[in-house]
Amino acid sequence: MLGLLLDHISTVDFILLNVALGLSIYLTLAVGLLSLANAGFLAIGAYTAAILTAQAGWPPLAALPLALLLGALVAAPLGLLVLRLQGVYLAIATIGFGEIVRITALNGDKLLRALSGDPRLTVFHGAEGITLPYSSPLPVLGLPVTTWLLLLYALGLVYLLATLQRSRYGRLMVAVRVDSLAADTLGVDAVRCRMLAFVLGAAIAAGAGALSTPVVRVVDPGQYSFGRAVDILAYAVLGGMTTWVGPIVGATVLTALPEMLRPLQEQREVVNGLLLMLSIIYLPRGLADPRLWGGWQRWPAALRDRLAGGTTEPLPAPPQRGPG
Amino acid sequence: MEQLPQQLVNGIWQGAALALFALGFALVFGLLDVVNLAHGATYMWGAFFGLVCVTRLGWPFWAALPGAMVGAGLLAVLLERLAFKPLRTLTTGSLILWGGFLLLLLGLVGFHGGEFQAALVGLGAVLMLLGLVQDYRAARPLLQRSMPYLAPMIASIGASTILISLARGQFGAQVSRFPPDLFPTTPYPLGQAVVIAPIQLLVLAVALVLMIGLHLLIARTRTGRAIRAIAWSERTARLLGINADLVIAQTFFVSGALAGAAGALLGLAFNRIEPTMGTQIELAGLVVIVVGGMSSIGGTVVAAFLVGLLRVLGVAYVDSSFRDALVFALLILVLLARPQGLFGRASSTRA
Amino acid sequence: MRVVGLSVLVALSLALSGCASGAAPGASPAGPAQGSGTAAGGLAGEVPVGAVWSLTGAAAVYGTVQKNAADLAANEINRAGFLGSAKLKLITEDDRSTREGGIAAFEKLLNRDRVVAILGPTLSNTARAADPMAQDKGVVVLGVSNTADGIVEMGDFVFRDSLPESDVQPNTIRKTKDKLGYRRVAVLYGDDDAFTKAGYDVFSKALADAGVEVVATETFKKGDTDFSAQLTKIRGLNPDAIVLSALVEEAAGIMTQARQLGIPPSVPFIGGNGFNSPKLAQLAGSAAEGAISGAAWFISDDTPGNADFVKAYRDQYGADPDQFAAQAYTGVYLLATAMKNANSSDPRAIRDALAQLKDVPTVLGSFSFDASRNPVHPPVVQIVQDGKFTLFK
Repeated sequence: MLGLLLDHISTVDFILLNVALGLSIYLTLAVGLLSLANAGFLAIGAYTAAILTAQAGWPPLAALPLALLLGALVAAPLGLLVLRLQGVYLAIATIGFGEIVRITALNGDKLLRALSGDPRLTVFHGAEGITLPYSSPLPVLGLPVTTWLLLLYALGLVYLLATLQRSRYGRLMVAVRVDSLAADTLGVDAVRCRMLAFVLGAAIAAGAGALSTPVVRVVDPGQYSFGRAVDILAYAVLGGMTTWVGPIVGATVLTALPEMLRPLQEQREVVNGLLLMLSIIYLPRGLADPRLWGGWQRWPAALRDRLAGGTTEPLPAPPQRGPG
Repeated sequence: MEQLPQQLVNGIWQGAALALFALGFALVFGLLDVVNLAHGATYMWGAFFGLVCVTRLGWPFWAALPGAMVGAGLLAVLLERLAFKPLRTLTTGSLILWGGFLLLLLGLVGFHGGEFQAALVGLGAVLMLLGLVQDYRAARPLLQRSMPYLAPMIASIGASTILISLARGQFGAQVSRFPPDLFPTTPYPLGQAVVIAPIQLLVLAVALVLMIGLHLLIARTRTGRAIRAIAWSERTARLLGINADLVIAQTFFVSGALAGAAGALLGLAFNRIEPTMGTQIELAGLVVIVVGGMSSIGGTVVAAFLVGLLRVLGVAYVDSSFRDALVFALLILVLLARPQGLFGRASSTRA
Repeated sequence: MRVVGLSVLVALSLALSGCASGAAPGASPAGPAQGSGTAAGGLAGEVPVGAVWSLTGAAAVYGTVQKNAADLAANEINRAGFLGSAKLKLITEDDRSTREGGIAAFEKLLNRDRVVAILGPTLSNTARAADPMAQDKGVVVLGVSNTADGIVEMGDFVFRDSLPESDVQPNTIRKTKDKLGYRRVAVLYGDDDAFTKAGYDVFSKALADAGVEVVATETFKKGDTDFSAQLTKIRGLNPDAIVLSALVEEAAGIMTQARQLGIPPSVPFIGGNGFNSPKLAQLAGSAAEGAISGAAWFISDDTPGNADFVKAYRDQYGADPDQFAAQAYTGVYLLATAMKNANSSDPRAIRDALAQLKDVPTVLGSFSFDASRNPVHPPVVQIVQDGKFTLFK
């Protein structure tokens, strides 16, 4: 079994990474925000760790707290700016943010050279990206240490989200998600709730970025495009946005599937698109829909509560524009 | 600075093309509150339809252009029935449609030639047709749903992937072009140091004609009134006896036709038709509809010219590397200062 | 509905675990398959060689061509009995033009298929992420399209047969400057692609070394269709020539629009490997006339076997090969030659034999590896005349 795992270790690493990313977007979806900015925060975390490793020799674990901090610091003002917007407009604004991050990484050196006056300054390496030196990761109890880091991170996130969901704060999040206006009248600070979810989600994505550097080994702007943000969204959509189990299932299936479908190379993209369409149309609560897992009612209440965390209403209903 | 007039010309004709594309986007958004992220793929297929008309059917360009529009329009309607309608109401027809679609995909993608493939594709197509008819005529839906309103956007992303993949399978990943000499290429001088190519003039002309046509459609016809009614409130419109599903299909047809026109024209203007050509223009289109505000044709058009000029002048006078960053910065600026867009109504953009 | 849902989920998880535990259907059987032969023994049986190409995704255009050429070479080698009774078994994997795809492909080839050498991957960035894995396991990686920096520096098992721009373009600038005598040029390059950006770095240094004044430096992005803003700017500055580091799709658009905007044909385009492709004339038509490309390979070159290669590729695939094809084709032959010289399919022996290859006759010319496993063979400068690339004289 261990040998099997080691043979596919890179897939395992990527599954863990994508699980963390899926959970980060889940947090924002849980308060009713469709944010496609997570690829941008992923980039921020990855570049932070890569620059520190390449320029100062820091190991990714040391860069992790800095990445978390930076993610939160960037998310805070961004959140203040865009969280006032609703639904589609928020989504589009976050897409714009992601693109700006990517373009900054691509042309960062140009900017730095202009600012510092030193024409040789090279930190971002433009399209080539930053390449990290490879060293065969040390095995700890059989698994490489990079995998352990990702595993512990993912488990930590699960614990965090499960606790959050069951706590009073989790109820607040649901209230804000379902009807923020009503929540406001009940004294819930919807804005603060959203901000917290947004900033936390950003930090999680940035942290994942930092831990991803030893696995991807090359950090270049092309990896953090709009397409990546869409992939992350797909993890949550396919898996289900109502419980934290959803993104885990979604990330696992969507990461492992291309590998399993290796023989079907040309058809793979069609299958990916098809899965997304089928899941949103016919399985809107995702694969991890509690109601799918037959006999949901017979599960112990505590477990149900832990998994479902309140209402299973995924996203808010459309705003009314006219009288009807 | 003497190059400014030429740069302005560059920006204007591209703004016109962008306007064509963005109008289709805005139509659907205005009607259904749905961002159709498969619009770029429709645009791309429009270009390919035009190419097929010219290369395989031997039509001249002035016939291929409407051919592209009709093809893309029908594609958009199909897209609506497959991806968007089931999210509102599920009927047996839509289930049959999906069954046929799955068979069709299986045939197209899973097999290489032979009668089995032809049979599967044929069967799939027939089932899809049946499904469409049944869906349209259904008196009672199986299921009336209220979906989170971001679901259609997500479904359109999946559809976009499939469409791009199918194009790649059909036409290859490389760049194709319209045959040379399809359209006169010698540029006309417009004054000192300013030239414009015939195709660019065509784009401008066609865009203007279509924009005026669209305005007339919305403002003067019964369908246009129905569209405006549904945009205001779908429920009320149905109560008034408007056949909402038909009108929605018609709107998607128009939206797709506009995208198809843009695709064929730009495919000719840039000599470049490839499966991924829709993605870049789609991002620009998103910026346009937000900046313009979603409630008016005029607003979208002005915003398109604005964005087109910004792109060109940004490269010309700022720095070519930051062109896209400038466009997105404009997006964020507008969203902050005037979230309803420059021309939109201050309604429900705030949370 | 619930029962259906549950059984679907169960089936899915069974499928997931089942697939993960063994080879997916259609892949080669797992287990040691090094081909018989130890370090001293001979070549026999099937020799598994991996090939990682971008068959889907952004770089699919290049990967598919590389696959075609590599398959062509492998078939020729087997048919001709080049390796005696042994047969080359090419196991092709798609890296989807992504990092994860490349890493996973290498993992499969190294751990499950146990290949003795790997060709590719298509993109330099993927190579920098995945090659170290092969280096670690002591398996040769031969890049056939990696021209960025830092590739062969990854280890002594990493080779490449793709001549980097730094070896090709100074020659291009020298030759063209001598012949055309330009003094002021504008430079235009794609800044979001590692290849074209590296080309720009090389060109700008070569131009500085040659004392040529650069009046403007403009950029564009991969996939851009409109270059009128940059070209209008350039037009206003009246350069003697335009140095262009671009891939063929963008290059065709740039040349067409430049002529449309009125930049006269007396201002030629001078560029690198990027648009060394028959597609240039196809896409740009008459606007491509006079374009000069410094390259590693030239379709009508009379290098050994080139005419046969071009004909065979044309016959089999219905299109002309380009430089990517030529380098992939050569790569397979280089590996086979190394195996033949070492008379072994042991990875270490292959590596040593490969490193010692000197003056091998290939379609790229007389080919050798230098001490740092970079390719050494004469570059060419070519010019488009009557819609075809001919030697620039």
